Amino acid sequence: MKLFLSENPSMEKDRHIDKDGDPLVRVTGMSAVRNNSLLLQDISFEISKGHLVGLIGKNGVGKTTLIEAFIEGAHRHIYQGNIEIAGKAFPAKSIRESAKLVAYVPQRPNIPKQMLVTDYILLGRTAYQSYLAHGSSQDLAIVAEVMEQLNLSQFAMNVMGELSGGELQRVVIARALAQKTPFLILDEPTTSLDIYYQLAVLDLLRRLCLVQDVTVLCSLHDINLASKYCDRLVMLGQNSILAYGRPSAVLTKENIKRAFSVDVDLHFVNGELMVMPQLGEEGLSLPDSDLGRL
Amino acid sequence: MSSNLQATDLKSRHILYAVVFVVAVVIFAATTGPAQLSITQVFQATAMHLPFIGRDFHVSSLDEALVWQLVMPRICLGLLVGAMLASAGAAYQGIFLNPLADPYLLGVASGAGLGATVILIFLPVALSWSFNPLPLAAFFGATVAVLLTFILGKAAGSVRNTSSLLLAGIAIAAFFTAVQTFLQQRSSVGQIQDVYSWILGSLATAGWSDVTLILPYVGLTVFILVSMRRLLDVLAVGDLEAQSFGVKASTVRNIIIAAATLGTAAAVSVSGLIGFVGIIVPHVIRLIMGPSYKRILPLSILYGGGFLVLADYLARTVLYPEEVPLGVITAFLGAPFFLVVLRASKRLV
Repeated sequence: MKLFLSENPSMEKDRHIDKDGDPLVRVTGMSAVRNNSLLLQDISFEISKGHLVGLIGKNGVGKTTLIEAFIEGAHRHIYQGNIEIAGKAFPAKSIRESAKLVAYVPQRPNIPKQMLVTDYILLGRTAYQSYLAHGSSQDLAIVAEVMEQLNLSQFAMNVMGELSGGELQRVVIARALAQKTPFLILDEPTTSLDIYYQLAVLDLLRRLCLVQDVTVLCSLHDINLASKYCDRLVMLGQNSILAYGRPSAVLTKENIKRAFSVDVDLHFVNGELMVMPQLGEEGLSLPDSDLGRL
Repeated sequence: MSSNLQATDLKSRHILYAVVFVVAVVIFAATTGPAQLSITQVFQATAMHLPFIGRDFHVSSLDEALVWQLVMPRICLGLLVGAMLASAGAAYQGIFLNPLADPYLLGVASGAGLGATVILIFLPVALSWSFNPLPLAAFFGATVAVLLTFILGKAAGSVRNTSSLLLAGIAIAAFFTAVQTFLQQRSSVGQIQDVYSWILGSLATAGWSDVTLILPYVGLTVFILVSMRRLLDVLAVGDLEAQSFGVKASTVRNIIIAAATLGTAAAVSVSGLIGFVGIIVPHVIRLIMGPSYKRILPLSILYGGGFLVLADYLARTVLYPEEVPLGVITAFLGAPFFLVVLRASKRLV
């Protein structure tokens, strides 16, 4: 590839590894390019098994690009570098095999309004089904199990169009869980939800990591929720990782200023970190130059 | 509670009802025609030609010829063409996520129309040859038109965008129709009538050669479409999510479009442009059985075949001894029926 990438990605410099854990996901020297512009440059990090890892950063720095690297054939970007999941190279030999390694919950899922909830969750089993056969009872048993875990059984015979936003989000996560992958990625799963469902989704992800040893990478906008729920945070700056590690280590005033161009104060409430934006005179936070003058 | 969980799938009783419908239609169409044959006569005459049964019943040779040379090939061709048009329509609707898609969407009809017009106008003597080049020309025109649509659509838009393909289909169809109309305009009145009646569709000249001509295409296409039925449901969630399930959406689309086009071109080449079947049959099934292609696709094959045999029965009987064009019957019958179903389903929702 003739791009303005370094020929030999610096493997050892900026390699964000987790010394305590047992790595499930290993990303080495990843770069992403679209229409000749660089979206990610030489990113390396590891995610330990059973961890809930939050991906934070300003809009447009490449969070979604990084997440889509874990979907085979996301052909909007050209990716370079290596990904390893559960000891296997990703993308795997076939797209079906890749779908058994990673499940994905998009930011704005396409909801087929007429489809039954059961049928929708069953879509997650596609990679396990043969072309000609009927659906197997084993696939259906997995769907039933996932629906019970997520308290969705009462919606089995509803069509998707009848559900509320929070219920839909749970159904989409159920679909991803039905895929039975070791690694789950979610693109801003809480963005369109009220505070109750934000907590419900994050509680669910937390439980999945604790109880089922699933490993989760999920992009989040709310820094405080990210800090409260995540085991590790990946802080993305322009095209590269600014900081990686425990939330308390990543969320410093300096890092937040660099990542979000926002001045904040850090408070500790009952030992929990709280990030508060500094409000200046007249309740304004950002300089006029950022937004223009009214 | 969990053991009661039911996903939408095709059940054997659904197939049973459809098969009963098809068999009933076939028996009805074979026995109540103007020739007034009895069920026994039809069965015996047919059985004489079937392998393993092939013994001689006491059927007069005239009746036997009537059944075997005229009635049966026409019914079989109706089943094949109807099955093909309905299942291709269902497949296109799934691919383009558009309920108005029909098998003629990407230029099959206008291409076949031009091919047939060229033969009917420039080579009318060919119709009396022992080898009739008309189906071949229609088939050729249809495949060329869709191929051009594909090339144009790919050049205009990205792979994931089906709307560029749709627009290309409209452009190609308009172009082929323009050429066809131009040729038609410059020919004699008799030729115009020939072209026109071909375009409206008919099974009147059906023979076993037509059946054997399109059987491999229809068989292959139907097999491919049925094996892809589950993936058509997956396409409803969009390309990126489909990819994360292990389904390469663009590949699925290409395979289905290629298969549906090939089968439709074959069907059209022997029957002309029978409209409405490809929209109405899958839609009625969708309204009754729900939106899953696991049901719509297999059932479209059966009910599509039965529906067309029924329509063809009307085409040859309502104005007997004259024939009404089949396309007129399907639209005349289909449109009001469709409205009734649409209304009924609205009340349910």
